[in-house]
Amino acid sequence: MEVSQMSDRDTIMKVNGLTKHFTQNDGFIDRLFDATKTVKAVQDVSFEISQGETIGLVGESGSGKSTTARSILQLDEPTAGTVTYDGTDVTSLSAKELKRFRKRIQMVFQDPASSLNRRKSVGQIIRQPMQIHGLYKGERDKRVEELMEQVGLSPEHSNRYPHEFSGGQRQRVGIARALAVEPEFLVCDEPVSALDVSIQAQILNLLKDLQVEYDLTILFIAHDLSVIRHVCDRVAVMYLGEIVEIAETEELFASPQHPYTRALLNAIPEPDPELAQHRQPLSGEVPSPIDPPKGCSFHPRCPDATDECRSIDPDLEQVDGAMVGHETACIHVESFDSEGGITLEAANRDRYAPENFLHEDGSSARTVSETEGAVTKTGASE
Amino acid sequence: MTSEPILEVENLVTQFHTDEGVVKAVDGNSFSLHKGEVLGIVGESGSGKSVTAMSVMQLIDKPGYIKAGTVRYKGEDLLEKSKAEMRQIRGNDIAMMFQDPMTSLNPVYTIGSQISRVIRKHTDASKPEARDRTIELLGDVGIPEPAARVDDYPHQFSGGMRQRVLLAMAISCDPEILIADEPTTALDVTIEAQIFELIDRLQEKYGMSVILITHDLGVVAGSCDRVAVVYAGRIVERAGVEELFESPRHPYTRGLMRSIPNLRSSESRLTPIKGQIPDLTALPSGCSFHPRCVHATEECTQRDPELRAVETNREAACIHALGYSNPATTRTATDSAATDGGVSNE
Amino acid sequence: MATKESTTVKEGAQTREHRSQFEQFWREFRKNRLSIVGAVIIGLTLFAAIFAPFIAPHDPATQFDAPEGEHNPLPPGSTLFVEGESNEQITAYLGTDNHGRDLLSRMIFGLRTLMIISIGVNAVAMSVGIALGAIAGYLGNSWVDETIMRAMDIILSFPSLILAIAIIGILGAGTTDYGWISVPNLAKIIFVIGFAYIPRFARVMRSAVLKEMEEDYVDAAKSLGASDTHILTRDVLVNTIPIVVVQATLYMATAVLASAGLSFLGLGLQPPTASLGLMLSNARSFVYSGQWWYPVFPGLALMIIILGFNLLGDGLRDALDPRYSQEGSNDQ
Repeated sequence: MEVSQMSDRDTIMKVNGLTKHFTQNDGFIDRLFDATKTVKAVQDVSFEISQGETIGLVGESGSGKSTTARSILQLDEPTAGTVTYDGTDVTSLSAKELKRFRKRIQMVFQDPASSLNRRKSVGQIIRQPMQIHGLYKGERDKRVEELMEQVGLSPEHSNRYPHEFSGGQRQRVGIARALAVEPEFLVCDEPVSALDVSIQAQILNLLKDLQVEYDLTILFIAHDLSVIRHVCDRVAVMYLGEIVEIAETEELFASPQHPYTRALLNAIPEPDPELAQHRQPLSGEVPSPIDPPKGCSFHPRCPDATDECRSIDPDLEQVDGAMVGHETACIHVESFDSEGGITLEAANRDRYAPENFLHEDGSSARTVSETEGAVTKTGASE
Repeated sequence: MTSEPILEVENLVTQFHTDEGVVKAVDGNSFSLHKGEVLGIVGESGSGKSVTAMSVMQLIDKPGYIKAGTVRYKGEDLLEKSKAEMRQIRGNDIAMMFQDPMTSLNPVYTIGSQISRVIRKHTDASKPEARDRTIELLGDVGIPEPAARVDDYPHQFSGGMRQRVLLAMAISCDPEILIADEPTTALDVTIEAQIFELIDRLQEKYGMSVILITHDLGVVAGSCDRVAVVYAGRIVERAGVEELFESPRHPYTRGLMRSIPNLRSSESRLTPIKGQIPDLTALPSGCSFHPRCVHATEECTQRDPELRAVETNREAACIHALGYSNPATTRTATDSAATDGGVSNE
Repeated sequence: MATKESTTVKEGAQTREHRSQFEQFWREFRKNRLSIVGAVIIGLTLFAAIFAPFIAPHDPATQFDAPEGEHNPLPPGSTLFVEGESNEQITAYLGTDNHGRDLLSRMIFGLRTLMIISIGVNAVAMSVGIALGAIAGYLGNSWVDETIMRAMDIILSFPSLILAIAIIGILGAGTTDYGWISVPNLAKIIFVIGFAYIPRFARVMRSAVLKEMEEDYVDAAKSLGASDTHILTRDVLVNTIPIVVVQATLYMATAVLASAGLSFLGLGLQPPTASLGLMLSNARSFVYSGQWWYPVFPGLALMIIILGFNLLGDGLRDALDPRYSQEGSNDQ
């Protein structure tokens, strides 16, 4: 099975007790008077990433998913905790070692407009990492060409500027830059959320292809669970700076254990009028990370919260009876409950396939789709 | 349909003059909105979905202008109204709700004073009356302790709460039509669900008709009765929501439905629509979707298909769509029976 | 292979028409006629300043004799005699000053002084200001930033002209010998006004850098392993320099005014240097006595140059940032 294969793989990254607090102030005068507030963006987050897997970090705004990624990359210095990559703790690297680490681990950003320097041609942008690391001397032009080709851009356009490209193309440039020095590990921070829907699939497929080609391990950050389902092997669900549930993708979607995961799955607007009727919104809003609730941080919004939840801050623990590695942080989860998730409907989307298009001169296509339409209809309405 | 349309847009053309040429943001679109229905306008960026709404409200700024068409509201053409008349209609008859709840509220006034002002502008309510009404509205849109929060400033509210405030403002004069332009795009998914539930509830309570503009097919499926799919300034397909999702007739709609990541499918590769959204200043010849279409033929590069009824209650602008060359009225009885069931307004 | 399909899709075919950065700039710039006017004014001024000896009809320092019965300053179009050789005649197109010098020639040489001062002032202020502002912005909200910016605040809290007067007062007007080095007056003025202008550039630069630091490409460069100096010089500066160039163009106008102001007060350039400010200062006493040409022409020249710099600056501002002009038309 795919799963056992995965657990056989070597752990490449180990995040242990990662904590990141931001202090809000306007300058050192404020600091003198101690007029500061602490935003607890990430609280004691631990997880492991295996070589070659795609792990998803999912959560709403303020969940700390992006900060976790930035802390891993040392773009933000963690307040506490360690990040071990390939045996070395990257939180305590010297500048020189850090540079070497950054050759191995690269990032794709959310907003392709902002992440590309607007006064540089895309050729210069893709060449930059090679210059920084002094790689591919003498063959950089060739490498730029090759990379542009790989991400689906015409190499003739290397002298153009980012604003001359569409959003999807700019994201391709960002991916080409990330791959320029052949990293082992890619952090993708919401790589498709700024793109149009018809373009998203192109970029997601591209990432998939490149993962195989470059043998990449991917940390994929997203707020959209549907995207996560398609690209990730494993998923960690974050809420208010903490991981509340982590599991293999299939099991997480089929049998979510934490009430927040369930609510999140339930809140997703599904592109199907039958299913969409059953949305049950979660009440309340995400509390401020400056002053998170005592006990379990989800308890004010949780439909199953009890008095205990107000005082006990649950740890992430293996769910009894679930697959190894399926952990959740909820005191009310005693044993594995396989219900409550999303069921797969494989045939569902075939009706949109080109061969089922009701073509003006293809009467056979019409009959196929008619019967299928009838099946799905009865299936869903019961 | 059982009721008369409350809003009828016909052959609307809105253009923008730019350095790159004339952008046909809305290119001859027609649609109608019936009493009590939710019409979805779905499309990607550059499809002209927002411009359509802004044209109805006549909020198009230079270098854009409405070139042609009629926007009939209760039988009167809004495009022939004076500016003063339009100001009365906006807010009072047709209200709008924007995407960004951060910039749609004025940061220097309390939310109470902003809502009261709208009420006092359109009715002859006294100040205390307007304030009472404001508090009532804030309660209606689910803001806890409305009497206490009415004097708060926008920055004291979260994004979701601000969107509720905007909704309260939009319904403050009991409008006939609410135009919601991507009302939840800036919000988290759990908050989005709350807002849509709220819109649903208010729509019933106030008997509004709603035009919902979105890029999210999931939102369309959950909230709309009828849907218009726009691509490159044109409506390419229009149908009841059930029909649309069950078997879309336009290749673009089909491509879109197939390309979006779906919760209920675990296939590791998605099926994207090839190519990219065309530049509106240089649209392809013939059908603007043909360069990206899997069914495109030679004819598609020449012929620009108009939106045509291909079945009862279903229109498409594709020469290859079944029923395109035959009039829709000859469709079989089973078809119309199926469609009727899906579209009636409960 | 089926999995390669998305990568072989050539998206490039549909990009917008390609333009080089200069073409892009020029397209935006020429859209506004007034910026062309500004560019022409400044271009002509620069040309006149550089080629002053070839353009000026006469030597700016030569004092011509007035014809019998007439006194300097003489009105425009007057005929004058070259001293000593009584048969040689010249025409003073814009008249003469009170010493019988040709006004037009003096103005052309005055432009030269003016441009040297404005460019010099901006060079001093820009180089120091950009460096300080960039460092402060890059290290935003640290003690370095605080120290630099508070120092700038202190300089700014003096009106720049008063500050310049104070420094000139300390250094003394005219050429000063400091034992081993002799500092000409012109250099002193450039330094003084330049010093007073440092904070303006530092502030503009700092806020521009702070804004750029928010952009993801800075994080992208960091995550690529780029050093701070690399990011600051190769990434951030290319985006902030245009903003500073625009500011510099606008400050050229104020520098012109300030140098004219100093000369006017007698603290700037000393006679017989040709300077528009000095000319205005001398012409003061002729305003009410009917010799209108003496104050009017230098004043007009000054006004046109300042207008030119302002128009040029506005035009550059609109043209130099493709983000504001290009992107807007794209989204709806």
